[in-house]
Amino acid sequence: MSEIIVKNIVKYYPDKEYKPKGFKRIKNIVSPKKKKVLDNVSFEVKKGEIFGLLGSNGAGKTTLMKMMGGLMEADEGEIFILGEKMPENKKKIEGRINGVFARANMWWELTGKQNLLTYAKIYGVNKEKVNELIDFFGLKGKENLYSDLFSTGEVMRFCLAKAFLNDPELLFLDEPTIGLDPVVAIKVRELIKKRKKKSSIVLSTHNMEEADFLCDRIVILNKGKIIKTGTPKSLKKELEKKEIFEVEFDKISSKLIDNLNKLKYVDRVNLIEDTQSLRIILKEKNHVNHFMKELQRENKIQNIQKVSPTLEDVFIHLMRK
Amino acid sequence: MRFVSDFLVLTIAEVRKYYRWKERIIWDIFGTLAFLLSFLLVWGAVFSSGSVEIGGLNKDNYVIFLVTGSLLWPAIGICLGPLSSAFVREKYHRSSTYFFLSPASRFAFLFAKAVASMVEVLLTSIVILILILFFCEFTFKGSLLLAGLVFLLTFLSFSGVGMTLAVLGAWREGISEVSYILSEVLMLLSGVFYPLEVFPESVRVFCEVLPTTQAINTLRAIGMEGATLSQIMPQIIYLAVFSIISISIAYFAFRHIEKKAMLIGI
Repeated sequence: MSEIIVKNIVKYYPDKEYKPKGFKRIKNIVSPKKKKVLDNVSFEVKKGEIFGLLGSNGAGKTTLMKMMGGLMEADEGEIFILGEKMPENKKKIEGRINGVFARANMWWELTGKQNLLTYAKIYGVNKEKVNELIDFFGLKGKENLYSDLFSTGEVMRFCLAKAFLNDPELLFLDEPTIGLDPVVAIKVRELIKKRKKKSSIVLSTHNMEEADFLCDRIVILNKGKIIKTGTPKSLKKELEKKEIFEVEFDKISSKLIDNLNKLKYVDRVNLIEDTQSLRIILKEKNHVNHFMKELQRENKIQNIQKVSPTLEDVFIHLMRK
Repeated sequence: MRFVSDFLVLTIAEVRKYYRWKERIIWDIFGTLAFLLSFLLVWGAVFSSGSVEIGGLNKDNYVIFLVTGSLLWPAIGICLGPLSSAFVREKYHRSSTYFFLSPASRFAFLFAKAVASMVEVLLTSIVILILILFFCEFTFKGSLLLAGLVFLLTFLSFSGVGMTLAVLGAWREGISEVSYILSEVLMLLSGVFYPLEVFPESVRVFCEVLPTTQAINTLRAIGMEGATLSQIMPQIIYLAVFSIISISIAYFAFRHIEKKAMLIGI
């Protein structure tokens, strides 16, 4: 049975960019102009699955997460969480779900531990669990500081500790590793992966490697619409007709990137951070020979290797479509 | 049962939140004390300059008049000020999302905020009272228990108003700012630091019917004239009915706005 069923969800928000003048302004206060932020979104999440929500900023991921968490109502369509219709029957399941939401905070006037203890009592969890989570997330020594004194990463770690308090059957993780240092981020990813045995997880992230590592299935949203659904492996097949190379040059200049981008065989060129290498995606596999000739004619190449497409390649490809 | 346990947990959390605002505790105590001392000096100077009586206020009763007013006003002020902006603050700091995701009773959240405000007022009032006793002498003629009842009913009445404003503020943020202005206007018109006789007749009629004036006058009747329960029964009934109505309105406003908030997100 599916833990989450999202059926034909449509959501409108007041259009804040619309700033009419004169009489229309009054009309807009009484009945604000709306824009669609989610358009006919449907998917299901099965038990024990890590389900990824990917999309650019403003694609509707957080709105969708909030709807599934019962924090917001859809204008059209239906959402069922753990068999209960949301948000009408949220009361029946709210002790069985938990999560972290992008930009949501703990109570800043309380210490980290006071925050966790308050939520522990609300969820009916004992103090030992709080101490366990403080240890796990490396928050020992920080727990008695007020929450407004935490760094972004520490806030996220406390929020994650809160999310794991009640051993939820369903976990909503909206950008859970944002602001975390790499060591803690890896630890959190491993925890999420392990958690899969006990919980179904909905994960929203901008980190494509993270999505690739963690997610069993993914939906990619663009401007409120689902543009692709599938496993990371099946999504990568989207680029099977293309050829990808990582090319190491003597020196990279913006002129070089411009020139490569102008080549008719090249789909996209990306600079690989902190290296003298470029990731070059060709439009078709049969362009390889022509491309190689062109590439070696004017440039000094240190190394060249054929690589497999990543989820990030797929994501950028789909967003550009 | 869920409501009671959540209410207790959240009230403790709210009191702890207040403790974090050490500057506010100082302001609550010394702000009130500064107002009281200023008016004690002003009225003291007025009566020592030869004035005999102004609107029932004279050199023998002006201290208790000011003490009762300035001790009761914070109970009203906290409801129309900090309590009324409780949700806006939560919304501003984005701390309400996790609470609303949790299984906690939502009305317990609001009610805990109100009760924590009462605890805050009680504690600061006790400190203020002790400090006042250092500066001036006065006699409280009536029953302290009855005064406590008036204090409680006044708080309940205005906590209903504060909770309603807090709920409306979660929907339209500007409402909380308006409530601060309302609080200042009511302080001006309720005779906290001066008798209503200082106003022209036309304004005074309006001032007399204000619930804030009724509450303050009832406490003064006990403290200054030693009024008994039977003598102030109409005012007690007035405050009790006002409490029930205002808290009921807060509850229904909460339920209504909660549904509205679901459309735009909590």
